[in-house]
Amino acid sequence: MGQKNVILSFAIVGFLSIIVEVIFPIHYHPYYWWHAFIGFDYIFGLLGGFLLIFISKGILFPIVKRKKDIYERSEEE
Amino acid sequence: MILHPALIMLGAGIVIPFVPHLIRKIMLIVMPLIVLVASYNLQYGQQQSIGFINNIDLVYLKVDELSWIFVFILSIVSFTANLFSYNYSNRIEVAAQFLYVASSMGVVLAGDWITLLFFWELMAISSTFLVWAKKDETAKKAGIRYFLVHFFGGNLLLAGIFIKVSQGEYLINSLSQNMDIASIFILIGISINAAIYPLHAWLPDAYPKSTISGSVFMSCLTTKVAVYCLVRVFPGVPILIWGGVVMCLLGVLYAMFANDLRVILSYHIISQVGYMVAAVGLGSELALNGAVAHAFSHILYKSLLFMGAGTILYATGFSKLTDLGGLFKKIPGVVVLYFIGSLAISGFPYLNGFTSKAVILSAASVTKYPEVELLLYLASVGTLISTCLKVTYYSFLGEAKKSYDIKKVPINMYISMIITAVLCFVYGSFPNLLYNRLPFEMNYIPYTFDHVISTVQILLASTLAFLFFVEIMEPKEYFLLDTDWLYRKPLVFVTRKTSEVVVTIQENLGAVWGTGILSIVPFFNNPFRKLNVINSENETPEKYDPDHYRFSIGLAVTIAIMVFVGSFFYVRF
Repeated sequence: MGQKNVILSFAIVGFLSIIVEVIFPIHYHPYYWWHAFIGFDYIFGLLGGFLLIFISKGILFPIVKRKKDIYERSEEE
Repeated sequence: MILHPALIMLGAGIVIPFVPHLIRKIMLIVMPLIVLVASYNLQYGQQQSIGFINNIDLVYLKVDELSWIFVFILSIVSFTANLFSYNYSNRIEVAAQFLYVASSMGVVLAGDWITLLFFWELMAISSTFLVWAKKDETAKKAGIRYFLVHFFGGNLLLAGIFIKVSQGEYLINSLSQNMDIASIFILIGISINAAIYPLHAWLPDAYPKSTISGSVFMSCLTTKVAVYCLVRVFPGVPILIWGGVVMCLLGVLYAMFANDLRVILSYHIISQVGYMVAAVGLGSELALNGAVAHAFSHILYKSLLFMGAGTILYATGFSKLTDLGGLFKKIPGVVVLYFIGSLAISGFPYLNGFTSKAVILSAASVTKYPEVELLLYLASVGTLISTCLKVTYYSFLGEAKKSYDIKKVPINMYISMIITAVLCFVYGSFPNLLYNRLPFEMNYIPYTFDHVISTVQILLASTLAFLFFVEIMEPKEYFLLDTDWLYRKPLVFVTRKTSEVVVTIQENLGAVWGTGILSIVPFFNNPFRKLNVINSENETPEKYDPDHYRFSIGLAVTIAIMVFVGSFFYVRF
């Protein structure tokens, strides 16, 4: 199974879960609007995942990565 | 008679290095079981104390709802982790494990500050030995750094406790309404153990360098005992909310690009403890229950994950994602058990992360912190991506990147992982087992239709996000900077420069002083020269025998004894 098919199947299952949420709209404790927003968790997970990957791999990683153990030399002295 | 779990374990830990091999192996299994029974049988309200100096009573046993649940989970994990380490722990390591568990329980059961401090320091010392047990150069150095950081934290705690006790407050009480200097010292001391940013760097520095079983113990004890102390002493301190959120997110962000399995899991400890710290900061009864429940769940699934990672390291000799691959075909049992743990930490329904994380998130919305709720929710996306998906994709599936032989995994490792996985499932499916034992009454139902569908959606969406960027997420072998840079570079530099300045001053002063001394020496070396008994400068001072003019040493001793006896009787009577 290729990667595209895997992505597609996850997207389809996600879409089905949203449909399930539409059919059975039971929200027990909507303290804020997003608790009652249909499909919010799916969108949040997707965008949040993109955001985290971007911040982590795109911003933080280039700042903190070093070629080798920078402490080694000073500890041998 | 009350059996004190910490004291039983402490006694066993002192005895165990000296007993023969066979008895040691039996003790390794039997003692944790005895402790488990002892801690289960503790009753709320039990208290024991012993007199100490200055009319202070050392309350070495005080049981309430909060301490009971922590002692219970600590004794469960003490059993599973000791079983895990059954076939290769040496004398010192076993003793360190026992003392580490004993001291953690001692902290949890302590009713006064002095007992707490004693066990706190014992916890730091015994866990350092678990790092050193690895016996290589990096572990030795990491152990020393670990010890220094904890010693620093312990001393801050000592300073705070010293002030508190000198004010006459020697019993442990909540200090959140009374944030004076002593409370701040205590808060920082505890925060170091709880790995709150930026005081966290000791954790990913030391844990991955410990032994396989050592890291299982460490992942469960130090930070969770600190969470216990925060719940007990600082509930509702607002700074902890944001401290927790920052831990939660930064831990996940680091874990997303870390390469070593145990480094990933170490950053995840920080992230998960972040949930608990934020919940302590929220301070409502629901939030505190959430913090305790999450600590309970976290100990289970994190020990399972560290056991899984340790077993992979044991079987293959590698723990980096850039070396591993295709493990599912080689050790499917271990992989499945690790996978259960990683689903539990991600909050998969019917596993225990789901039932405890939900309480914290609900508490955040009930206490009107919507932004905290969303940020914590965001961190759970990263948790799935980094502990579960990334590890699965790059080490369980695909092909091995380096060739290695698979060592046979001992049966006891499997048994302890299975027990832990079953417990994750039991507490996830029957959450009331845990909820009924939490410190505050609550009526919380995690398995609502709404809640389960939200979780399914967020897990699906996170997986999709990962699959979109699977090439970008590929792990790379790099060295990662963290806040320990501050005390490993600038602090070392400042210390070195300061000592250089001091040494220069000392040497120069010494030179002046030495010249002065040398210039007056000739006046003292032979008194007879001045008395003209020896006439010439060149004459050897053979005639002069200093012993001839000295009193015998017996006289000096006699005088000293007489003075001592005289002053002793004067002082005493």
